Amino acid sequence: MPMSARVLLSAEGLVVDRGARKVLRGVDFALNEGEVVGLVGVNGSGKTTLLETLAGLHSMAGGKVERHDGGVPVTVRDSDGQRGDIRGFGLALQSDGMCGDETVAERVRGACRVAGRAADEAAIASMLDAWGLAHRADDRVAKLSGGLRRRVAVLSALAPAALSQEPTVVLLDEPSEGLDETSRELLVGWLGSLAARGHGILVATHDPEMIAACYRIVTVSEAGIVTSESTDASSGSSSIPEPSGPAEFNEFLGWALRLEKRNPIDTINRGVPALVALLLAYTLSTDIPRTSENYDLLAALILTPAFISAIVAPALLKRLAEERAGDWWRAMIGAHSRVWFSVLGSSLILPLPLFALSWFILIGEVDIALSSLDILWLVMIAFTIIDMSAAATALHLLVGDLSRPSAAAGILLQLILIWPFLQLSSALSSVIAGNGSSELALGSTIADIGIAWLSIVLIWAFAVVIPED
Amino acid sequence: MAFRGIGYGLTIAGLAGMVFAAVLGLTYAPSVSSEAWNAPDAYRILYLHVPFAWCSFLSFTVLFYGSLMWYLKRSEAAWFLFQSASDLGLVFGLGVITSGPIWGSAEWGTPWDWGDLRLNTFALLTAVAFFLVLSRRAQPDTAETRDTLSAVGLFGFALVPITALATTWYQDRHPGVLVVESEGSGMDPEIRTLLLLSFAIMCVLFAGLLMLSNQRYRLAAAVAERKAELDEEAMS
Amino acid sequence: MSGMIEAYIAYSIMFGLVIWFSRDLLADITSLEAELEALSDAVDNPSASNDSEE
Repeated sequence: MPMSARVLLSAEGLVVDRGARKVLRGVDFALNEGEVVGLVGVNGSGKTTLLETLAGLHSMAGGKVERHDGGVPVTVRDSDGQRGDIRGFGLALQSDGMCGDETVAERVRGACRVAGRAADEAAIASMLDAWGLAHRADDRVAKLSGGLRRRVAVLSALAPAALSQEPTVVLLDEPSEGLDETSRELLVGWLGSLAARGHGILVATHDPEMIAACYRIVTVSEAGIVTSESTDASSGSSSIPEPSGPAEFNEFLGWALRLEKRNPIDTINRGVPALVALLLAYTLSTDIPRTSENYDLLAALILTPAFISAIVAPALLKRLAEERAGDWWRAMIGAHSRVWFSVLGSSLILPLPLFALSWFILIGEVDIALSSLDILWLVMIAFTIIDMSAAATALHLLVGDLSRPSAAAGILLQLILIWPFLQLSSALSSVIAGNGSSELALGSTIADIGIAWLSIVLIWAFAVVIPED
Repeated sequence: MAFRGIGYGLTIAGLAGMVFAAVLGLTYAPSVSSEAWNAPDAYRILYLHVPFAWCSFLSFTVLFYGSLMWYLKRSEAAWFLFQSASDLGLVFGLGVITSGPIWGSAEWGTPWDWGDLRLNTFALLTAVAFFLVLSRRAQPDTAETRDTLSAVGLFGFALVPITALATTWYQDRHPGVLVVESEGSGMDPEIRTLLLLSFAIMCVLFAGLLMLSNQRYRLAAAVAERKAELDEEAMS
Repeated sequence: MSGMIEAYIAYSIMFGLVIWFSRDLLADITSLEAELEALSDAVDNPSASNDSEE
C-alpha cells in the first residue's frame, strides 16, 4: 500500500505518434512512491509506447514527462524537445537491452552504477544468488538461455532500486514474459518489498499473476487514453539487499572499453583494412620515384590507411543495436547520449599509430629534415583524423536511426569526408615538400588543416545536434 | 590423469627443445656466405619459421578432421579437436606471418611479395583461425554455431593443399620447401640436419599443446554441463 | 647488415607466442579444474566463486 502520495514520475497531456498512428492522445499519468502500478491493455494499445515515453525514449507531439526526485520536478522530456538530466532508474525493456558480450555480474553491477548506486560485491553476489544466477556470474550473457537472460534483464532493473536509499522509479515492460515460474514468484515478492521501501514501480503486462500483484491498474485503450482503478493487491515480500549510498559513475565509458577489450572487433575491423591498404601501398609504390611531382600522391597514400580506419562502421553501434541495448543506454544517459555514442564509438587511438606507421613505411627515400614545426603539423593531421572518425561515427549513428538500417546505403553519407581528406592530404604534401607554412593564407599548411578540422566539426555537429533523440 | 601427464611432459619437453634449437640456430648453426645472401645471419630465422609453418599446416589438418567429424558424427571429441586446432593454427600462423616478413625485409628488402601465393595463403589461414577463435568465444555454443564454424574450418583447409603445391611452383622470393627436396637441392647438410631436428622438436611441442588444449576444452565442456544442470535447478 | 638483430626479433616473437599460449593454457586448465570442483560441491544454493570467464 502506498506509504505516501508523493509523486515520483508524472506525465501530462502526452500526445505520442508512432509512424502515422496516434498512439497516445492527451494521456495523464502519475507514479507515486511506494506503489506497484500495472499497465494493461490489448496488444497494440500503447502500453509499451507509454512506458518507453516515460523512460524518455520517444519524442512527443504534445505534453511532458517529469521526474520528481526529492520533490523537485525535472523535465525528462517534453514536446518542445527539452530534456533534463535525470538520476538513474530501473528499466527493463521487452528486449533484454543487453549486449551479448557483457557478463551477468557486470550487467547487474553496471545497472546499479549507472543509476548512481555504489554496488558492493557482497550485495551483487547475494542478489545473483537469490535469482539463481550465482554460477553464471562471470559468463557472457550471450551464453545463457533465454529464460536466464530475461532474469538478468529483470534483475538489472530491480537492483538499482534495491540498493537505493531514496525512492526510485522502476519501469518494467512485460517482465514475466519468458520467465519461469520460480522467477515470477520471486519477481512478485521483490515488487512487494521494493514498494514497501517506497519505490515506485510500473509494470506493463498482460500476465494475470503480475496484475494480481499490482496496487493499481491503469488501462491503455485503443483510443489512446488511460483509465485507472485501485485493487486489493496480494503483495508478496522477499528479502532484498540493504541500500547503499549514492555514487556518480561514468559507466558507459567503462562498458564500451570492457566490451571492446573482451571482443576486439572494433580494432580488428578498423585495423585490418587499414593495414592491408598500407601493405598494398607499400609494395606497389616502390616504383614511384619519391620526387616532388609525386608528393601529392605520396601524401594521399600515407593518409589512406588512417582514413580507412576512421570511416569504418563502429562496432559500438552494432553492440548498441543488439537487443536494443542502445535504447536502454539512451534512457539512462538522457539528453546527451548521441554525443557520447559518437565520441566513444569513434577510433580514438588507432589513427595515430597507423598514421605514424604509414609515414615511416611510405616516405622512402624522400629527403626530409623534419623541423619541430613539421612534427607539429603531422601531429595535428593525425588528431584531425581522429575527429574525422567521430564525424563518421555520427553519420553512422544517423543511418542507424532508420527503422531498417541494414537496408540503407550509409556509405553515401560518408563520402562527404573525402573533402577534409583532400585538405589534409594537401597539408601533408606541403610538409613533405618542406613548404610547411603557418601563415594564415589560403593554401598554407595551417589553413588546410584548419579548414579540414572545421568542416569535420561542422559535419559532426550537424549529425549530432540536429536529429532529435 | 596419465594422459594429462603426457600432455604436460610433451609440452615441457617441446619448450625446452625449442630453446635448445633456438640456441643452436642462433649461434652454432653454420653461417652462410655473405656474397650469396644480403643478410646472412637473418637466414637463421628459418630454423623456427619453417617448423612453425609446418605446425600451422598440421593445425589446419586437425581442424579439417574435426570439422568433418563434427558434420558426419556430431562428435564432441571432434569439437574439442576443432577448438584446439583453431587455437594452435592461430598461434603458429602468427609466428609464420611475423617471422616471414622480418626475414623478407632483411634479406630481400621487402616484407611481402604479393606474387607469393604461400605468404598470402598463410596470412589468410591465420585470419581464418583468428576469426574462429574470436567467434567461438562470442557466439553461443549451439549446434548451429558449430555447423557454421565447421564450414569455415573446411574452407580454411581448402587453402592448405594450394599452399603446399605453391611451394614447389613458386621460387621467386621464397626458398623452396627444404625438407621435401631431395639431396640435389644444394643445401648444406648441417643446415638440413639442424632444420630436421628443430622440426622434430616442434612436432613434439605441437603434440603436447594439442593434448593440453583438448584437456582444457574437455574441462570447459564439463563445467558448461554442470552449469546447465544448475540452470535447471535454479529454474525449478 | 648481417640481419642478426632481425633474427633475434623473429625468434623472440615466436617464443613469445608459444610461451604466452602455453601459460594461458596451463592457467586455464588449473582454474577450470577449480571451477569444476566448486560447482560440483554446490548443492541448491550455489555459492561458488567464479574467478575466470569461459
